[in-house]
Amino acid sequence: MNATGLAELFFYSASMWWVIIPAVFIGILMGAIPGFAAHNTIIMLLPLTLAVDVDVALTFMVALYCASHLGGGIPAILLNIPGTGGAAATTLDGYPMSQQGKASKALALSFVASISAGLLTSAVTLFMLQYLSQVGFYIRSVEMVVVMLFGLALIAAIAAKDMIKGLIAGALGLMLGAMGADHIYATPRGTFGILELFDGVPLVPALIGLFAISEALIMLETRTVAPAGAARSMPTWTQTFREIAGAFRHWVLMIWTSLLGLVIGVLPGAGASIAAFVAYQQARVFSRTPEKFGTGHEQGVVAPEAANNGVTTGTLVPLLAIGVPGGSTAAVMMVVLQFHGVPFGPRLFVQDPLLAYGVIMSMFVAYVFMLVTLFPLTRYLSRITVVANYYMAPMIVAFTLVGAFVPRNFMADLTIAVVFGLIGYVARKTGYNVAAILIGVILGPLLERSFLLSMRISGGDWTVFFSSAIGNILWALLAVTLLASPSISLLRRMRRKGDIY
Amino acid sequence: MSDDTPSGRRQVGSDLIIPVAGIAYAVYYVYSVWDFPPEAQRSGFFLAGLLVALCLIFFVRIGILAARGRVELEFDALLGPPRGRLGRLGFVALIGAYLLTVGTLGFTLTTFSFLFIGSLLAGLKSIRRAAIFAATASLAGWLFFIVLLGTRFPLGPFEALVNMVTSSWR
Amino acid sequence: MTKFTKRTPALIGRRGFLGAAGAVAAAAGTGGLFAPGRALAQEFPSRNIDIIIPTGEGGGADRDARAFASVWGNHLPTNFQFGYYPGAAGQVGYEFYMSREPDAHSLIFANLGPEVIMLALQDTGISVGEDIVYIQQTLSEPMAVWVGPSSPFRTLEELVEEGRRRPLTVAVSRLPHPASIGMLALGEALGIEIVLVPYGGGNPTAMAAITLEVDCAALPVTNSIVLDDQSLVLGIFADENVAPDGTDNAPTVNAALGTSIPALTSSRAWGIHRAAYDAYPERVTRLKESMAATLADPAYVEAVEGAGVPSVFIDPGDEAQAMASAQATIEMARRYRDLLTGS
Repeated sequence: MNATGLAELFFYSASMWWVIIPAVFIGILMGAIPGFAAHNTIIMLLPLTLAVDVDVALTFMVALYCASHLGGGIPAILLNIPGTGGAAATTLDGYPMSQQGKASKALALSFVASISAGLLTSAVTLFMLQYLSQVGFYIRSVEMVVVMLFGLALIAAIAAKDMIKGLIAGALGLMLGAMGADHIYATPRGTFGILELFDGVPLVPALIGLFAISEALIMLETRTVAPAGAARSMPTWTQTFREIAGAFRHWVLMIWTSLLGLVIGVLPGAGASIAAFVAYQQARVFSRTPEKFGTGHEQGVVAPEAANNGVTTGTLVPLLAIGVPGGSTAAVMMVVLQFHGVPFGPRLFVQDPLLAYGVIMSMFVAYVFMLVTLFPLTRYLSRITVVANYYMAPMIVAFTLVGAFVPRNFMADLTIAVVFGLIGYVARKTGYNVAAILIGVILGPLLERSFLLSMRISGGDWTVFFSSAIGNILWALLAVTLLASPSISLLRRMRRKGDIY
Repeated sequence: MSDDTPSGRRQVGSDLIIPVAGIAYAVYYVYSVWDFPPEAQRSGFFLAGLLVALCLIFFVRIGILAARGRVELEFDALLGPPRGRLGRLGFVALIGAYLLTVGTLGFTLTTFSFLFIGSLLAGLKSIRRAAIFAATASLAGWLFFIVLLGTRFPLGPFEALVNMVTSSWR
Repeated sequence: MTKFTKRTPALIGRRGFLGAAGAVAAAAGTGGLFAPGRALAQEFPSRNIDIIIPTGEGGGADRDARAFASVWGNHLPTNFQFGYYPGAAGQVGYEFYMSREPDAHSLIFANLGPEVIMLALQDTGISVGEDIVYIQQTLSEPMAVWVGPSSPFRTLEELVEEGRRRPLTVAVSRLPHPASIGMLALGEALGIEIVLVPYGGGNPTAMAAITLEVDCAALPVTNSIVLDDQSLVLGIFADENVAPDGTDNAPTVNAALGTSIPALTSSRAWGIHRAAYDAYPERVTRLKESMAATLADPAYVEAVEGAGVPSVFIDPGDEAQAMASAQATIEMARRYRDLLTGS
């Protein structure tokens, strides 16, 4: 595509500003309410998207989808409640920053990382779509097992503070994640005969319980999220500008974690949660200050937020390049395309290239529009942390329970959320990390699925896991990842003692 | 361990809840897949074994500390600071009441009652402010979740009344 | 090849979009608000029709149900609400459907093949005929075996030849499925080992075949038709290939390999609670009449083709025909019970 074509495409997408702006606002708002997110919101708004022209519908959905990933980080940082699974890793450092009275700084980091990642990955996708679509040919079930293990490695990192408790939390999450129909014969396991658990632990109620409800119960012990001594006044515009400008210091981290997110997003069945967990873990391993992660470290906010926004463009690649949706949001987009009688996959590029490339350009433009929201959101939203908890806690429970209900419309999901809330509360009070439990719940079933598929394909031959070049490279990288942290710390300790150098 | 007591001994009672519950679930899980084909059992068996093994290591660690007289079986850490404890327990009970009544009372009335009582239990002193807060938030929630988004959350007498009024306008 | 309806060339304007957004928001909101008002009218339907889909959104059932509902509204004046309840090979959707009020306002859109097999093999307590009645069949499509564009196999014979040297891996949506049965029957007839790999849905199954993770995929033929040049159909489990254009003019499996595997089809059908069927015969009649009128409406043919499904698969069948399809599937499931359940 030449420069003229690109400019034409940009202005074509930008001419849809009247769709993108409301979509961005709806997306940020819905992304910030656990349970709604892009997928469920798009389903709820399906009558609207089916009623309008397909260009408008796609632009609306794409902009909403991107914005929801930006919105998901807001409650993760301010209230320790991730709006989406992809923002769960953001809580690990974002919330401690809020507790230290640095909420606006954490928000600036999150927004800058999200928007930069979105701009970068949509630009990369625009030029490299066909190459990206090939990723699926190299990373299949066998390699996915290793990718999942990269995510699970975060449990070990989280467990660093209290190894045995961290590992128990992770194992409990994995055990709970193994609930539900098995992947081969579809027979329900460990469900207590409860129909609503046959499809496994529902992610949204589990997320809401572990993070929102348990956090609301903990919040009752203090007056506000921000410390008593934190500034009561709003940051000035100059301060806000400095915080936003300061976030760009992490540009290297933003670039590589967003590209990591893009690649993981392309993989069918993977998604923002995995990308964010892997990015957080990798950022920690290669950080000069890994010990600061989990204590309110800036890099711990940047990495997962850049990665989960990198995923947004990646998710659309299989749908656009091959014609098969790679995730649930892309599947809903496919419904709209089908309804309008528009082909998808390679034919879309032949029959209607403006629409095909326009989808990706719409993402780019949506992120450009999000730049506008950057300053006011950073400045005003941090005020939430000084709202009294006697208002916040009941409101969090009442409204997130609606979020627990929305994805599946099962009343039992409210009870599931509350049960997970109690598990989360006990875990928090006794030092078992809820993020480790959630990682197990999310990644466990995906790991089991990839493992069983690989074993079926290989006829039960365990060596299949070491049978591909890419897989072996990933194994080696995983080993490096797991060994890097302890090795670097050991070297540092030795250096301090004067044993080396 | 959860907390150090003034005596210098660590409270471990509440620390045992997660491992004990985890083991109980692992045992139930294994029981539930006992007659299943191996592919449906394998990962469950592995995970149950892993969880039980980790919990046993944890119990051994606590056992060693107990033998040295450095732990006590207390559950105090679980309930948080003594101040406001009753209110917090009441809040948990209120969540239970919410689950029981939401199907009948519908979104708006249940949310109003929950926010009103919940904010008072959470420490808000003024009944008037609690009522204003609950009314504003529940009506805003109704407008947003029920009217605008059209979620299928249960409808109750309030929603029925609004339906009647709006129907009479038509 | 699949026909697609042409996209509307002009964009709708800003006002149009905002107007539509307002109208949809109002409709979504007041759908619940005004419902009891309609109930007072003692008409059927007195509220929205809930359509339960026991698979995920964006799948074949979703596509076909939406195509039907887009025309059905002209013959049954009400709104249609879609709910997706995937899980346990459809068991979750069926059990959830059975828990709904049996008042003929809740219907299940069934994929008779896989779902009836699931009901026959899994311990659901739901029995076809006794608990659920399929009142109208809409579409029927045969199962197909196909490969991705970069596959080394270009014909069914080449695939079978490879199968004589080593086990063939076949991506399927799930084990209890007519396509799975077709592949098992093929393996049995030719003495080759078939390893079924269930990917849990049509989309991931297709992806596995396209990326060459497996040797081939076996799915209802529309999946490969919709994929167009991303799939190469090798054979159809039917007596005749009625949609040669969209299926690379593939032969039937029996014609290509000299086997005598029975035709394996899956039909979409509307199901209703037996209790509602017995308690509200007049409502069921109204549903049946409006469904039949929809199927006879040329707009339905357009909607089906617009969704990428060849109209030749439209297969209107009354209750007797739908229930006979279901019964035939139950018989087939019983025959392959051991292989499908791992027992």
